[in-house]
Amino acid sequence: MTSGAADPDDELVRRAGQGDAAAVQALVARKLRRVLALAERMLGDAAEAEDVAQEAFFRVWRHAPRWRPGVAQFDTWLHRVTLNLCYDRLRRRRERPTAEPPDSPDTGPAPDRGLHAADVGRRVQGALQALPPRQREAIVLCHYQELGNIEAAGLMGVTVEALESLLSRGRRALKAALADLADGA
Amino acid sequence: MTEDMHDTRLDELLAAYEAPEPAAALRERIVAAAPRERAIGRTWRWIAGAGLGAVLAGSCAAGVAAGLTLAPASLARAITGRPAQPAADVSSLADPADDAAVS
Repeated sequence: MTSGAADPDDELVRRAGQGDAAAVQALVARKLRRVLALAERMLGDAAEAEDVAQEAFFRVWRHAPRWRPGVAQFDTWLHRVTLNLCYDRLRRRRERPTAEPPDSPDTGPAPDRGLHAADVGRRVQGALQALPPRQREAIVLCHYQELGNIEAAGLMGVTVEALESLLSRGRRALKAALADLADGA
Repeated sequence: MTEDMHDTRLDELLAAYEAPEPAAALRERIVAAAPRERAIGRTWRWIAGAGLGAVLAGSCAAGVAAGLTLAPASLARAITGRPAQPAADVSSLADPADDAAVS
């Protein structure tokens, strides 16, 4: 998957792979928040998201010395690594069904209409976690990670049409779950 | 019921779910695990270079010493500039009494 434009991360990754401390700091500053946000929204659990973000960066450090510019966009590769780690966690959760779902975000309507932004955030988190993982992934990649449809589809290994279908179904399900917030309470 | 909500309203709601800020401890753990091969490699390369240099210098010195030891006296004299020591005259050490006994 070679892209025409130069990858803005290539140089940083190359230097980080050589042990350049400034490049390491810059790469972490540039990517950690994004990786953590992706993991948090895929898993709905802050502690697990931290573990995933840490492991994703450990993999970056292992691969950086052998990183070949132009073969793949670093950001896309990092998203793929993070998503794989998230799916590993989700699979483990399914294999241990007795485990309590993490954080148990509230998915029901609020008892009163005076919701704070944090409450709305928790409601959205709960609704997002209730989606099938592939719909959640599509929403997270396109809405939160701000990837284009083509890039997100490539990352998910589906056609753009399939991605749009996942997005459409996901948004419909979110609207249903958050219907009581439709009028901007 | 779901169609009651506009896309823009859903986007507003989605925006309320903010990403967590990375904890400083997480950042430190990640940075601490980053590669440091170059710094370590530079040290090892310096040590290896200095060691190799010392070994080569020692070998050269040993070679010169061996050469001077084994070279013919005239050549050694030419190299070192010192006169060769004459062979010891052992005849002066002979005991005249022994000569008398023989005769």
